[in-house]
Amino acid sequence: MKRYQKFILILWIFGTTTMLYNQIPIAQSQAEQEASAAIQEADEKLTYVLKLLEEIPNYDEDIRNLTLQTDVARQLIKEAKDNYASSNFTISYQKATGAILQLDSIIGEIDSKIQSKTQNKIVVLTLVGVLAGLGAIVFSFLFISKIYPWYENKKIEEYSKLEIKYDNSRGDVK
Amino acid sequence: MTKEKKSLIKKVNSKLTQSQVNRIITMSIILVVIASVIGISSNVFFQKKPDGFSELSLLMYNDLTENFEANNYPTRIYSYENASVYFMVKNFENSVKYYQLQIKVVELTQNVSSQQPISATSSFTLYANDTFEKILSPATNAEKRETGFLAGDYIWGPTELVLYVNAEVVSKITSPNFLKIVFELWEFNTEKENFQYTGVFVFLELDY
Repeated sequence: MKRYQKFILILWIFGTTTMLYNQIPIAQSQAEQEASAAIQEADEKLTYVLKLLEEIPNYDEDIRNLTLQTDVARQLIKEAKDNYASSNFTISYQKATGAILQLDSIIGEIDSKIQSKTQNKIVVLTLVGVLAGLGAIVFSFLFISKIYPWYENKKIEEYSKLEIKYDNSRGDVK
Repeated sequence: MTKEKKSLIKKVNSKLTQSQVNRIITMSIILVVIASVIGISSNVFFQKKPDGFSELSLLMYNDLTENFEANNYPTRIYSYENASVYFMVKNFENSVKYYQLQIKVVELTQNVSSQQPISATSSFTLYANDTFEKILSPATNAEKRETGFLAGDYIWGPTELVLYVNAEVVSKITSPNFLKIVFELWEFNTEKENFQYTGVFVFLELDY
């Protein structure tokens, strides 16, 4: 190998090593940013799930299971944060994305449950409203057609038994 | 027309208006019935939830009876001798709660309030790296009537806590030989998106 060829080879090795060495912090910084963004997203989703769970009026067995799953996701976020603090950004990112996936699935399940409960509520309330309305109409009809005329007849019967007497001294009707 | 006859016509007319009053009463009764039906329905279907509460307790494990009991708490803690207790949180609120337990070491004379948490300036937070957090379902009506239960979706614990004091804490506590370890219960506020003090606390007074 000629001298200038050796020189070019050394130069190339030096350049490549420098490039690779510079790339490591960039890659690490990228992993750190990804992990940080994933943790933030997971935190936001956890808050959203908690808001959904707070608004649920009845906690049946399904909702209790979803609450347990939410707690598992919370634990994953905590592990992601711990790993982030220890500069294990790749593991941190994996934990955070795992939490995000789990929370997305929980959000889907809660949404479908709320939707079906709302539909059931609408049906029940409509039924109660219609029945109450019908009851009121039937009662009004009965009152106007039967009870009130009966009361009026009774009153007339009672009035017919009365005798009008004039008392000139006081002017009262007896 | 005599005065008496006029008076009689007036009386009869007043009887006719009485009939109109009856009609008004009839309509009123109908309205009251309709309003009652709506009122009862709304009460049944839109029930207001009663206020709930959170419970925090400290327990000790009895090796002889193999049970947890609120008795025989540790009385001393040294830098070379840890003290062990168990904490338990129960969610008797009416919704899911995200709890956090904060443990603070303070002077024996430090007042503990349910209104304000102990400030960071007057305390030393133990377990800075170990956060105690848990999301709990609310207790059902049947569970609210139960007593002495240690497990369930609405219960956190009993969880063991190994209490310790290090040289830094000991050097900052000015009251001689005594200190207070306060356990404060916090809950996550989804509106403010941070933990808020619930006003629930327990504490241990220990020799050191």
